[in-house]
Amino acid sequence: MDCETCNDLLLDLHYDELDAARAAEVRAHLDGCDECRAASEGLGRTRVLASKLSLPDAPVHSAAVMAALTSTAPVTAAVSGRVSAVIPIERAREARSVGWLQRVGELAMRRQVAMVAISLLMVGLGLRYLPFRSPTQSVTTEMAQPEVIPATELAPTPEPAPTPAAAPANSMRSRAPVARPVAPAEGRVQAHAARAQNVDAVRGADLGSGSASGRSARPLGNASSAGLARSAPLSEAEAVAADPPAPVAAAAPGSRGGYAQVPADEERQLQAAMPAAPAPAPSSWSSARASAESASSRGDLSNAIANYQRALALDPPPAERQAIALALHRALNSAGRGEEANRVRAQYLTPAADPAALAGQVPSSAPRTQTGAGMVQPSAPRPAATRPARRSNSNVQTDFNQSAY
Amino acid sequence: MRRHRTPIFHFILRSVKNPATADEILQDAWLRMIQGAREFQRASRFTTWAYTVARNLCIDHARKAVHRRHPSLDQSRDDDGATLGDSVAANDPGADRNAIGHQLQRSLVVAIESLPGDQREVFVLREYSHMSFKEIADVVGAPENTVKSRMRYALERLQSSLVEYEDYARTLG
Repeated sequence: MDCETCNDLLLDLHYDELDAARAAEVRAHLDGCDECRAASEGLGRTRVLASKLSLPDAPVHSAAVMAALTSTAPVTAAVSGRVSAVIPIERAREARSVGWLQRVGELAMRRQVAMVAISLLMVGLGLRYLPFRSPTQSVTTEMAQPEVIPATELAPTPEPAPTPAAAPANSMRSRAPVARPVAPAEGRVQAHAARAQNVDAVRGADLGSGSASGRSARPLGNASSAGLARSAPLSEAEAVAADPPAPVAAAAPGSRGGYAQVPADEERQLQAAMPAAPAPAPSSWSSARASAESASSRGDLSNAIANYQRALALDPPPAERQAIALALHRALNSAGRGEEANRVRAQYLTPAADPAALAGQVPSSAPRTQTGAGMVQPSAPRPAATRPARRSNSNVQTDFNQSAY
Repeated sequence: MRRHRTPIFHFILRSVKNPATADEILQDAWLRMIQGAREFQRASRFTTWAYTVARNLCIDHARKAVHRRHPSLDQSRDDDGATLGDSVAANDPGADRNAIGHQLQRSLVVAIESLPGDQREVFVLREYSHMSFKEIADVVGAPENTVKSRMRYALERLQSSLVEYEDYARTLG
């Protein structure tokens, strides 16, 4: 080891910061080098003198200050005589503990955050209530909500129902009830009928042919037909009695012969709400036809004829109507009621419908004035080719879908 | 903290040269340590952190004291070398200077306070606070070799200042 290196390591040797091997090397060098040994002894003596300096103890009141600092009590100025020492330590600790909460609160209360939150809220409410509500959903939802009307409110009234206002074409607002004066007694029935008219008006408007007002302003005929709009499927006899036979030309285009369209579930509810009904009549033409066919297979011609007539009265589709009329025609012929069979033929069957079955039958020119007792007369019979099919909910959906796109 | 109280006070006292000021700075140092206890980095030693706080306060006080000139209790006020502190009744145990003569004590204080600031703080931290050179380097923010150089210069200066006590030191050593 040279003297320079030894000189650099003297401090570490005196303050014991050398490992044992390195310290041994330095001591070995010091034993052989007088100059380095003299320097080392000078450092040693200085250290001995410096170690004789007695360190003054910290002032006594500093201990009191430390006790106050470590306690939760605030440090008063009286302890140290310094006003700046008055520090509520506990408050400072609490401030530190809630510091993160305050920071989060400050961040949350910033103006930009509030604006973003309000915007999100408005978008959410808009998505929930305002836009993107498809017409199909709205109409089907409305039509899927049945309204049970007591039988007492469905009694026919002699006063004619006012013609509903023309619904605006291609507008969803046409579903809103039309404001008109309504008598208290018939208010509920008329309101119900008006709702059915409005829905029907929308359907007619969306068909896109002809004037919207001509289709939507469909007259109900009179109040009795409006009142029987719900009772007709339930009590056919009442419907026939209350609805006088009308000429075919009197039926307005697009009308259902005074029978307001009623959803199937609504009909079921109305049927359930009519305890006075003597016998459960078929609620659709298909069931009536099925009953007629079963009765015909049993040989019960009178029951089959009645059910066929009931099926025709329930406004089946044109193709089905023709088939039912043909079956009714055969049943009437089998029962020996040729005159009625001729009437059915004249009303429903075209010459091309079943030439073989109709061969030999005498065409009758007496159409509708000879309505026999008990015979069900369709309220608005028309040629099958021009009579629009009765729409179900699915038809309405299709119409709305087509109009929407 | 109680263990470091006296060495830190001495470190501050050797820096500000006034016991009252040193006491104030010591209290401030404790407050800073308590308030900043959560920010204390466990990676470093508490001793290093505490002396760093005290040293920063001493530096702040020195900057403020540029325009204030108060007489120091350890500053000689006459030709016989008596300081203001000698005229004040010593009522604390630190004033026990019976182990060595008053002359050596005064000479030591004068010699230490006459050191340059960077050498003085290194000497006090190493000699009286018993900190390693590495820890001192952390406190003063200088490389370890620089700290050793400052220490070496401080010892050589003290040796030259206390040359009259070399014989006395030999008797002690």
